[in-house]
Amino acid sequence: MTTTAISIKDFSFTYTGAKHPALTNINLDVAPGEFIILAGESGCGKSTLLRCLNGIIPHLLPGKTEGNIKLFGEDFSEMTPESISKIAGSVFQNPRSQFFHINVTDEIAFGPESLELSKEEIVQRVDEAFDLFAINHLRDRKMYELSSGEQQKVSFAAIHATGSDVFFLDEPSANLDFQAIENLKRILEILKNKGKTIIVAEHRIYYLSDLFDRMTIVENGEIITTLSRNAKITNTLMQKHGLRALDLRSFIQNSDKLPYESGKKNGCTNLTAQNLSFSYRRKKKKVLEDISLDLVQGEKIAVIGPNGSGKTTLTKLIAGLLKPSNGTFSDGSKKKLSTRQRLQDCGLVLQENSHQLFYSTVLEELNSAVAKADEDFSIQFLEDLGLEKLKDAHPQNLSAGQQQRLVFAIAAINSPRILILDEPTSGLDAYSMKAMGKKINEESQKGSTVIIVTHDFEFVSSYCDAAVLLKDGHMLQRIDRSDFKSALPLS
Amino acid sequence: MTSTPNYEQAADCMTPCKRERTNDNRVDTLYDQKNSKMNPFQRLDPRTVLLVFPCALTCVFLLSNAVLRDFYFILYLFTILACLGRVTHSIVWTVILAATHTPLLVLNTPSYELVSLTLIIRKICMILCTGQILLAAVSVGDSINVMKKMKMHRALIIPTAICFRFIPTLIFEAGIIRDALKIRRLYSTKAILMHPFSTFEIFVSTFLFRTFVLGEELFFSLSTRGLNFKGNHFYQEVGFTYRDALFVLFTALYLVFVLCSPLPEAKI
Repeated sequence: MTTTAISIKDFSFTYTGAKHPALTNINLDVAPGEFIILAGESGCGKSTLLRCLNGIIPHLLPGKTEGNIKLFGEDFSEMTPESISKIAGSVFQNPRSQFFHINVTDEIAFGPESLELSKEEIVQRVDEAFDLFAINHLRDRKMYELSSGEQQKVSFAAIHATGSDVFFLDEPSANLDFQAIENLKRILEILKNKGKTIIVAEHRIYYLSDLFDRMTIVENGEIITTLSRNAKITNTLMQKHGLRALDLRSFIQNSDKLPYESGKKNGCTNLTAQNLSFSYRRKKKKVLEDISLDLVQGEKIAVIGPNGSGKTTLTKLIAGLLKPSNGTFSDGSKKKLSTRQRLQDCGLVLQENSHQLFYSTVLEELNSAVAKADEDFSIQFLEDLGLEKLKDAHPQNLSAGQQQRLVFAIAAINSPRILILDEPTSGLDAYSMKAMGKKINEESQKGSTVIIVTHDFEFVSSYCDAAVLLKDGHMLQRIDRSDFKSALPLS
Repeated sequence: MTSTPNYEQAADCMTPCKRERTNDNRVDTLYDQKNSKMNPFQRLDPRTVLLVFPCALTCVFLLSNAVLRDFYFILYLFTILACLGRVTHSIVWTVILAATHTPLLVLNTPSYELVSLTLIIRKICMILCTGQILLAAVSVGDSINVMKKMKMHRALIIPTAICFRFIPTLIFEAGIIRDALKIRRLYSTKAILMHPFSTFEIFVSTFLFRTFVLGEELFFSLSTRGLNFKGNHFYQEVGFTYRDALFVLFTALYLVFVLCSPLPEAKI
């Protein structure tokens, strides 16, 4: 009987058409029931390694492979994604694009049904999955009605129902709020206690600190080191490898010692929102109720709260994409601002970068956003962003990081009074997070109020002047930087 | 060590009035949950639903031009829609039908064009209501189960199922792209009227890119979950019961009444 669940020996992989290998000489043995974190900077090869393990590479994404991978002693090259799925399941970053059925029960039953099991076995596995993940209340609900956290739970239940002993998770926390991440942690705890082998590729790793056995750090497609949980892993060590904090509480407790710049100009208001309420047509329930905010020049303000608390709706109201049901907006001179004026005054960067790129070259994309088209100015701007060599490239062909820089540049190029960023650090490593923080600081120094909708408290405590906590459409409190240590809701 | 509050503790700062609202929200959520389960047609075999409604529609289409007979059939469709919780759809169509048929009542000798127009509107109403009923009453899972039961080939099952799955996601994606266009001031009534083709082009190019990306993500996800549609047993088995027989019988009798009974000729 084999003593390893996964065995990777001298494995290298090069994507078809790529000059350099994405993975080089990977060696890793994972014991059954072991919990491994794959950490590393964006683009280091974590996701590629997971794709090699779940069979997407080379069966669906072709390329040149060397070395071998064995799953419970069976050679991967002789297995198809279908046969791998009987032993190992994958949870991807975006819950929205990984479910197949519209109904929760059908979704969980889909795996066992595909495995050609008997009716009794299907019923037993599905019911067990509902019980294990405590989601009986979601039976027969529509997947679209669920929050991201609930969708994630259903994904785990669906994989568990297939009887998989191995779970591959690709940034499962990327779209989750703080409470949902706590729930995710509980789910992983259940799976670990059941003896499942788990491999997680992740940037935000603080929630795994009590669960993991080993942390494998990948750099430029190579495993550079593997750290055991028993070894002392400090936040400083993590930073050295370009990784996020492992101990978030201690990071926030020490946030006042971090170098910090504020561009806040007290007394100068960019925008005042008074008694805002909003409800969608046909729905009685108010998404936002009685929200009042003063947005000061140069202030960097985080909007935090659970999913569905009204954060995105608030930013859409400020940006002029929605009209409030009640309440008013005014500028510093108390002049009322219409929806159209707000649309002109605000720059908004949505979480989904590729949805915001419309033209056929990077330069055209930037030129279209400049109030008075000036090619030299645009090229200078691209140089500042390190994108000048890509000025003729198609924006949709850029990497995720490059797209994010471009979208940020488009929003900031006209120096808007209010700059709104929706989850700017989702899926970013520590280096990219710092780069984003630097750009936000620059905009703040120019006098823009920067509103950041985020679940990332590491980023909030490093870069924001204040945070506004929303829940169920109400503003619960405004937390100033000096109170972050005691007032950020960490559970 | 300093203790950090959680969302529930933070919520304690709320006023009593705000608390009530929170409870209301929970009630709303429970109502929504109950509402989403409110599909009386789940007890029927999907084949019954997929057969009865198109057949009934075809019969009325071919055999009736009379206003009253059409209205009786539309009333039947509205009742079914109401049972499925789609009341708004019925209300919208009632307004449209009332607005278009009122001139027929007012005028003594309505023109041929007007009569033809009302006939076309009634037929469109029937088609759209039937489509709405099929979409609301039959789920992706049901359609896969039925296709498998009928021994249809996988090459037909997989694309059909993926189409059902994709449509809502694409609508959602289109909404995000429209918002992004508005932010860039590339999408407004003025822009659509002045530059309809370029507005359409920039929307479609991004939309197509997103469609490819989503398609790939979904394909990867399904592949790692053993997409094969080979199994012949299901968690929720479908099969004909006495309810199907009763439903078919009732619909058939009603159709006979609509099409063959000596209904009084309406003035219009």
